[in-house]
Amino acid sequence: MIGEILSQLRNVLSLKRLWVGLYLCKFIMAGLIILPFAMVANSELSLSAFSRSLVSDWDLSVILELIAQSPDLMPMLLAGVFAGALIYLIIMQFLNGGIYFLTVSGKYGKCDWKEFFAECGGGFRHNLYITFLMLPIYLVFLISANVFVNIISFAANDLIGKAALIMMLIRFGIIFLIMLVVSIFADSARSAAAAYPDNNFREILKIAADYYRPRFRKITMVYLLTFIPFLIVWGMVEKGALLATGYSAGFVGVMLEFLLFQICSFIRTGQKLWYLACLGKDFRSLYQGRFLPKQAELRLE
Amino acid sequence: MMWFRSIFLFFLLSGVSVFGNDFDTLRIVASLDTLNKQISGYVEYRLPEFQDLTTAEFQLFPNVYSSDSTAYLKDYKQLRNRLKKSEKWGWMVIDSAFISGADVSDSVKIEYTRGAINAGSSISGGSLRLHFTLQVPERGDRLSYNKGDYVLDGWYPRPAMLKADGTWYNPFYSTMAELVGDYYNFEVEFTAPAGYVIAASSDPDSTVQTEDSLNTTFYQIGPMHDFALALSPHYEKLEMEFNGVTIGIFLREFETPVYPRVRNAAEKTIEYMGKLCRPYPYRSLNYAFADVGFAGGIEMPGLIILSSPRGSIMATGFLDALVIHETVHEWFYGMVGSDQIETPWLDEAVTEYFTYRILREMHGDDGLLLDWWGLKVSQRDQQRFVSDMFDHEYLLTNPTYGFAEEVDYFGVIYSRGNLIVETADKLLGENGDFFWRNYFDTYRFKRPGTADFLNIYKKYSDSLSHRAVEKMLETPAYLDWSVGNLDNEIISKDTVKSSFILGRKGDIDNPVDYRIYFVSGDSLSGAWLPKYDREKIRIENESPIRKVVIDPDNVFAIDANLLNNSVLSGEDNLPGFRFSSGILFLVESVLSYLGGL
Repeated sequence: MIGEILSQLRNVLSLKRLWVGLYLCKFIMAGLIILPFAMVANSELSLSAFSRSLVSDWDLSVILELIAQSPDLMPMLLAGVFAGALIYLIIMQFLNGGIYFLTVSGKYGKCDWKEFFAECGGGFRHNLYITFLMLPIYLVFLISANVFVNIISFAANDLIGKAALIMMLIRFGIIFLIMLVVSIFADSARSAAAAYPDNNFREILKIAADYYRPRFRKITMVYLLTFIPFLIVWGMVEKGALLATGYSAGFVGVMLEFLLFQICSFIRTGQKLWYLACLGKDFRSLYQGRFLPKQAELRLE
Repeated sequence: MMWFRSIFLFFLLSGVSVFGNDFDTLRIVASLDTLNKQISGYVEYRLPEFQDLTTAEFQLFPNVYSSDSTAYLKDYKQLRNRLKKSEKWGWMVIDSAFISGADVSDSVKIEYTRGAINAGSSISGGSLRLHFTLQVPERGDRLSYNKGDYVLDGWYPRPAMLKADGTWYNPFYSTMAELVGDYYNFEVEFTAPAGYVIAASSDPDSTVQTEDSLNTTFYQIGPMHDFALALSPHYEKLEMEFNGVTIGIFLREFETPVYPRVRNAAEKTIEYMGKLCRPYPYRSLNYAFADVGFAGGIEMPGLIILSSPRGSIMATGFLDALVIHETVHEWFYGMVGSDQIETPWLDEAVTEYFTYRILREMHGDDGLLLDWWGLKVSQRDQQRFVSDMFDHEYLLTNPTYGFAEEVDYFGVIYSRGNLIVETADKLLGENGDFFWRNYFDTYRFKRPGTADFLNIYKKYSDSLSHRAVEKMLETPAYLDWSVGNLDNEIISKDTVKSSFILGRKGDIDNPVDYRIYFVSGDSLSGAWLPKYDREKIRIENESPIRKVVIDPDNVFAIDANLLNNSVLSGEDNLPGFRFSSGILFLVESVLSYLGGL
């Protein structure tokens, strides 16, 4: 399986323009969300020597002082994140049409942007429906997962220190796994929508369920195998950022940290594309839909 | 039964109070019935000598748990709901009462926690004996049982306090009120099932097996204003000697990993407070972990209850702070017995301030509670943030019942109180520690009020500082120092005319220091006595000014805004950029998980 997953990296690299584009979309959206916050924060902090410790540490004394002096700052950020996330979610449902088209069809190489955006538009309705369907399902599973881990950790209630930390990580891991398994159904449905765009929504869900039932274990494993390298990179980025600002609490350190954060964000986009390339190939191997090779169709006739 | 009473009498006669015999003796003989969760027995003490004293009053604290409408539970939603659900209320009744041997049971009147006897004739100096029955509530706070474990505070009828005018002070226990009482030498004879390990305000003088399954334990300690117990069949006692004090830590097996931290924090505090005030005078100090239904602790003389840290990853210094806080209370509450109901700031705010000082010694910076991957959180951050959340019209000197909400009480008394006490201390400069020693010596085993605190403070401070502290205590005083509008005008090669504006908002008119840092690396300090709220300072120097800081040593801890206490000659966008960069990455991560990419 690992060889199969690694072989998809080449396909992801051939989508580099899409990769960069998707990362930029996320970066610009996040930037727009925090822009008013950043402007207010900077105006409060820029003339004060008290804020200087923020250059080397995430010093809560400065952050809390800022929040206390600008009581509207956090509500403004939270409102921005909420509104921005909603817009981003809708934009992504548009882009999902094109992304899943590429990964399920296996049309790597030079991207035909006209075709890509045509698929974005064509798949928008189904992807939006899938999101609407999944939101309450995620909520239900999140609550159930919480109840489940609370029950299993009840016996470990007396743990303290490292043992409690390990238990907390196990609990978090269980919730993550449950949510991941649920989210793989959404990915299956989006793949089905890409392969069978003319089918109605109920039929798409049926194909997704047929694919998902026997394959969700394998796909979960694929996700984890693509996610673990990202987790390692993330850890290295955090450590690197810490070292950068620790050694150089100035322009160089702060810029290096910014770059590392953005590299991490870029890699996160790539990780999901990598996973989708693997999923697309697996889906295509069972359900070709409109991507059935033409000579095979002829042979059937 | 006579033989063990004789042993008790031996200990009673041989026992020596820490501070001689200036205090009356309060004797408690009681036994715990674990089947019915009841304690029955009697207390005996001598009534004060006062001409024409015909009444005696006492406190029945357990009645705070008697129904969901008591003044104590009314605003204590969490505990009220817990008791309402279990219906295991607590109460105390007086079965019989005797004054100097005469039965006065018929004269006993009880209203809520206030008990009174009107004898009709003089009872000055008489001996009062009250036979009582206590029903222990299930999962109360300072008086409760939970799965066979007991925390017992206020578990016996406690004497009310006679005021100088001959009337009684019998405290009214509303939400957040803690026990108030005079100092006594305690002689306690407590019987409980033999399987229980008992943590108490004192280590026992002896334990005798009275029946097959019962042990009677004898304690003698004083002067104290309370005697408390914690019992569990699961306790293991770990003890060590430190500076002549036996520190006992009572914990369940799963709590043993935290033992080193509790011990370390306890030792640091005993040493620190011993140097600042006086050494801890009793022979033992006990700590017991219990499931009290909230995260925190309960301070009682000689015994500290700590909420169990079960499930905690112990990544922060919260436990250290908790142990330090409760241990400091042994000095400010235990020995300086300020009235927690009428003047809660005198023990909580003062204790919180010394907790901060000790945490600074232990963890550096501003009392770091967390230092993890570049994220720093300190005790000071917590105090400043919480102190900003409450209704600013509340006074620090408000009584416990003068706060509408818990958040206001904690915000004012603990957090803002800490900052005010710190400001008061720093205004004294080098006299600070002498003031605390004098205050402690003067009011050890007494009940000082705010005026008493200020009287001692006056001896060590100038009139301006005294007035400032009075304002901070008795008005909702506000203060915000600021500096801004820094301007450097280069006149010639070696002459620069610089100016900046110092500002003050609020009611404090003390002088404040400011420090000027020049580009050349030199610095200059000055003091500003604010006649007006804003003042322009002009300076001619060879070098331009790089930054100006007002109140550089943060003497005025209550300053509402620390961001405007300094000004730079040019903008420094790095802190803002870094903060925004971190938030940007956070938002990108959120978007990744929501949008999938």
